[in-house]
Amino acid sequence: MTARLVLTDDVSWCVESGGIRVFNPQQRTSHFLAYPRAAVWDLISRNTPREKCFRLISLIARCTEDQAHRLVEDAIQEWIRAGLLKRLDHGQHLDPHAV
Amino acid sequence: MFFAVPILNQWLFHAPLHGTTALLNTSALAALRGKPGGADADSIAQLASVLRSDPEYASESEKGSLKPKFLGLITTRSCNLRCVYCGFDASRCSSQSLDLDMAVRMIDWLAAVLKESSAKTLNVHFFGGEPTVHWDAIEVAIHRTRMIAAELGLNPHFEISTNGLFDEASALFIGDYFDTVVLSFDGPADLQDRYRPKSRNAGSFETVDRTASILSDSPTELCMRVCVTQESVRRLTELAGWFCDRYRPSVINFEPLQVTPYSEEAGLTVPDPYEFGVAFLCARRQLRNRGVSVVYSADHVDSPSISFCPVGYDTLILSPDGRLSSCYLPEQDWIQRGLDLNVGRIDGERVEIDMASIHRLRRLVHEKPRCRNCFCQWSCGGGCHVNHTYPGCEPEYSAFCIQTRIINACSILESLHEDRLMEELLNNPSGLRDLGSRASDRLEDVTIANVL
Repeated sequence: MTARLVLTDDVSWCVESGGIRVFNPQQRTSHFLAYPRAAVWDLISRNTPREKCFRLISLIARCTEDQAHRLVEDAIQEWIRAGLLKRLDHGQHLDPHAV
Repeated sequence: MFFAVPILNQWLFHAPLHGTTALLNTSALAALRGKPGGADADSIAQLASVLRSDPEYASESEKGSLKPKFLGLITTRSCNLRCVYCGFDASRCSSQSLDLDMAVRMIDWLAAVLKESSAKTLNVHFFGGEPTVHWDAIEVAIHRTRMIAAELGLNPHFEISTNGLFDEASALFIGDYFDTVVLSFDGPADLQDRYRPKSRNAGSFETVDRTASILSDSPTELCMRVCVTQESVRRLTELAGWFCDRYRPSVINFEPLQVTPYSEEAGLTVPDPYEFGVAFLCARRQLRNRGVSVVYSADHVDSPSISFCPVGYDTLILSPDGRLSSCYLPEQDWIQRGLDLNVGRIDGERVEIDMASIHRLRRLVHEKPRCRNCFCQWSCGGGCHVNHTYPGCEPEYSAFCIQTRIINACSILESLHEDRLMEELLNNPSGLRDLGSRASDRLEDVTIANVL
């Protein structure tokens, strides 16, 4: 089972022309996500199950599901490193930001 | 094309293709018709010069390349409401949902066509049934459109016609991504729950109210689309105020009930056209200072409009079965009227557009017998091609025509700052009847005996 992800505390985002901008007030940074990563962020942050994400991203980016899988997982790793997302351990209390 | 419309004891001269309107007294109209009689000679000479000039507006060529107004996606014909006046009747439509891959191919194809023609905007509209019932299609189409638009340097623009019956997360998504939301919402719970229930015993007000509140807090342009019956027509001003007090709409769109077997079964009747016209104009005036537009779909007096709807504007609306048409009504409705509004189809990787059909539909919107002598023909475009001015319909005015004539005439009066005259007209039933039912408004048909 895939570990659940949560937005790091206080991280917020908004839709901008051509992508999504993510704000991390703790680090005082903002990140512009162009497509197709903007779609990945949108789906992940709206709690879309991972398998469904792969399928929808393969349609949005017009790629195979394998490629979509890599795209999604690479993006998640990068966002965790950038402090935008964190993994939720099993058994940990789910907060309203759970994705 | 020149018209003269009676407004109490004056005449509204209207030349829509010349962009000219004027309010004339009887002797001025007679002078314009070549019967001098004391009218201001300079003003009449100016108007007479309009009669001799070429129109400012020339409609698009009936030939020529494809210039789609927008791409429509019918994601599904299914619906989660059971409106008592439903005109779509999901049960007689296919339950097929729009194939996601097909939607993506269509979006890409149109983006490429628009890029090639140096267009700036990629417009995508969503229709149903209730389009959000097939939620994956919404997400995929929105993101694919934004992605391809960014790649090709186009501006994406999204509009959805929805009943608002979805969860909070979906409402937030729609508020984030859609430029315009047309929310079908008939008003407070007593109307909404009776006209637009989820089922026999469950109303929809609570959910739609929440959706409207969420959308009010988003940047989207929120348009409330209200179906008006004879029962609710007397409440239009109250409804307009209620919507503005409770939500943050940009537009309130009042449309009279369209008779369907369901509406008849429910005992609902079409509002009296005079009553609708007057009530609509009063509601519009009431909201004038609140920054909210009150609109009626057949009232476009600012510039000539050839069609009431997407038909005639090369619109491409994709149905779940792969057909491309210019109308979002169910195909069987047009067939019953002897119309063919299909313009192509998507088949595998290929998008086929039948340009002969596109050209045919550009011509369909002209020269409707019922509209031939009506001053509104360039502002209402003849109304719905399927339900109102279909081939073989009676040439006499319908209730739709009468209310449209009243509303259009008053819109023109407002543009001339003749608010007081409009007020007098709205309080004068015989003046309204003279305006509403006049068989011909053509200037040449105004007999001098009538005028002098």
